[in-house]
Amino acid sequence: MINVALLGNPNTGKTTIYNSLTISHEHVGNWHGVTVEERAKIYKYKNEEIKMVDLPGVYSLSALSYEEGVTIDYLLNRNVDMVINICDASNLKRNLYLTLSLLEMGIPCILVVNQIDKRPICKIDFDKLEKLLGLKVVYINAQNKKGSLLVNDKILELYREIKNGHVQAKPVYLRELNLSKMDGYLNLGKVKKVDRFKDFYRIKLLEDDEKIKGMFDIKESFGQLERVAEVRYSYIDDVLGKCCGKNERVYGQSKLDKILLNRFLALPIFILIIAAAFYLTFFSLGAWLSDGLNFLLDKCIASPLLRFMVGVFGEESWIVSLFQVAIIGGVGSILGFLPQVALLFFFLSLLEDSGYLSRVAFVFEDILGKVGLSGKSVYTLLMGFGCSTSAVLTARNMDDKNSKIKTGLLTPYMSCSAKFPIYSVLGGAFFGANNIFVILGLYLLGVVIAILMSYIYEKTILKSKEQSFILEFPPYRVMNVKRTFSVLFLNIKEFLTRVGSVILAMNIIVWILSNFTITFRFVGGNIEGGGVSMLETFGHILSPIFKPLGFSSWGLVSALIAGLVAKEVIVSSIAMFNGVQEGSMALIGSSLMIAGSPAFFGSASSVLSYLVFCLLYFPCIATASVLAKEIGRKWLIIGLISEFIIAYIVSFMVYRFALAVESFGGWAVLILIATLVIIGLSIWAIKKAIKGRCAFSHRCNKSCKKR
Amino acid sequence: MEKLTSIKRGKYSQIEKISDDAPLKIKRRLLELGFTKGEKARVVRKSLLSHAYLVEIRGYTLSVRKDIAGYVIVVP
Repeated sequence: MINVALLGNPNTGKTTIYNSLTISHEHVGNWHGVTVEERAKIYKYKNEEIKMVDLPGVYSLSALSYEEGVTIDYLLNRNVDMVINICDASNLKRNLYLTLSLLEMGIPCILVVNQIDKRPICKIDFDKLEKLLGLKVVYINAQNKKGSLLVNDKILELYREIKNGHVQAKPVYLRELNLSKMDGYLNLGKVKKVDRFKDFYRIKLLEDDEKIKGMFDIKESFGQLERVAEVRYSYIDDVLGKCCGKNERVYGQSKLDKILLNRFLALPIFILIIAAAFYLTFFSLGAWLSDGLNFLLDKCIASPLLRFMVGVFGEESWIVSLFQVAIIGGVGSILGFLPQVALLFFFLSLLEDSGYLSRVAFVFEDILGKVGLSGKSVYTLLMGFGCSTSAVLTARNMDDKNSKIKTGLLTPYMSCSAKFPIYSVLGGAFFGANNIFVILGLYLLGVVIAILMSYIYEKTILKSKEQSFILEFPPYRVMNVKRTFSVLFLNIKEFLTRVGSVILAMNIIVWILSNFTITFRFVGGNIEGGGVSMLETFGHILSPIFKPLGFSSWGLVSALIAGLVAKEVIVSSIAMFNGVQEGSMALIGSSLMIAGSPAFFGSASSVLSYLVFCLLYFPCIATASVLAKEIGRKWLIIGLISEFIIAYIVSFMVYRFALAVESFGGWAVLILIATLVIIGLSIWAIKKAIKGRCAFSHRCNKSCKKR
Repeated sequence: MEKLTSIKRGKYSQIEKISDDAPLKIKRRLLELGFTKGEKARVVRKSLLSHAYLVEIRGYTLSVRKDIAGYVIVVP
């Protein structure tokens, strides 16, 4: 088996190439650092087994960041036969720096120059480049299938040469650096395979790499960091000067930026773009498609199937009840959201691919920097609107550990796609056409709470350390038709798998718990006569806790617990408890208003409070387990506790405020605003007063200047 | 010699060195990214509150925090 590692700078298309080589569908995007973990696949090409490993993108081989640590560790310890180094044709000048580090290391290397953008930035003579660098160069377009065949051929070719004893030439400038004087140090530590990567260790020592110096137990400083970088870059300039034309434009700059990054327009434009995506997904296009799908599901699948089941088993059978309530009522109520969820993820991919997200990060750096985050968190938080579980993983890109923990803890406050069905069904029943404002409010509330929490964390337990916000700007790119379809297809597939596995299983469990007593007697829907189900007993125990929040019927409380597995289950459970036998949203909605039903809301205020609670309380189990792995159990527990407290407090406030509006009308709003303004002003005044009265007088005293 | 951040926006200047005040980690990263002596760089854009800078170097564009960009010492 040939052991191949894919390596390159961030956002050069490594995963795209990995996908086309191994025929996979790993997530890609036009952002720096989408891949955070190594992944591998074995495939066969011309009777030769190839193990391809996709490594996170790195700028160099010094272990400054998490990704670089993973990559270096892999190269040093895993017997890699060869490396495929991927460079962006438009950014060779910087990308080749990593190539040189690989050549110094002595691992056999194929240089794949990926032409992502249609218009090349300069003309490159690849034959000359190959000769000058002394390694195999392949020029491809990663989105094109032909490219992967070329790469595979080169892999086999190089493998044969290695077997025949071919040794790759080291770069010529190594002589200039006078590396042999470092040899004395190499015997100091107990590092394995020093001989194989001798030059790598020598150069790392010259560069004063803390980690490598630690391995050899060296305290001395060599101070050659600048010199090594200068020697490498002047070599690159020399090589490229011989085989490249003049650059026609600058990578990552566009006339569009004049508008999109305009100091004053940037923020409004971003809000407009998000609002448009939001409206299309949830209200116009998405809602129409959703209605259509619901109609089809009901008329073509659910009804005929149910008639058939009744015919076979009889109306009273528990199997029919299970099918009718758990499958049609429960799963059916979620399945209809397929178009909206697929569209949401599609728009997120569109944003990700466009290269706009880096600009958004730049715009938000000001604001987020103030609350102790970095513009880079924007990516994680935006992905959180899709799925918190996968979004949390991307927090690894952050510069320092505290920011990573913070970003991870804040992501669950973003309304993920699984929460939308809750807002849509419950809100829709009580607020009708006005629900658009309720939903918008909930999404904003999540963002505001996240920002507030970030500020609190920053000031208390999670102060962020050195943040550099070093982020490369990619060029703007438009998704091609093929990729559009594959993104849509993947999202639909993922949603259906989720509904068919987790949600279906959860619905059946909830159905069993709500239809059988503790002694396992079938209660079967007719609650009045049949005894108390397990879930009802359980729900009654917990419901007093939620009484101050305005919802206390056992169905609503149990739904919150069931929703911990997957948030969509909140809606499907409510449908089941209320005995809704078709997946229709309107039916679930109207059942909420029937007094005495297991999931009953007293008033619109309780609905608001319930929705807010759903938004803010614990994340689902999948997210929690990823968080435990990413940020550690301790922080997860702190996060969970604070989420519950925040959810409780905010729901309580929303409930009380909504009740006040219900009874006093518009006056309540005015009173609230007035109170908030007074509180805000007094806090500001007190703060200034403590700081030394500078706010009120121009004469600054000495103690003031010191501050 | 001046900081890159004090040069007028859009104007190219020549890099002299990375300030010795920069932590070793930051210095290493900036050098790897191409901020080597003699190279030309310029500030393309600043964010609204000038917290983040967009810097052009070696034919590509990079966003970076103000204090980090300030470590780059240039000759105007």
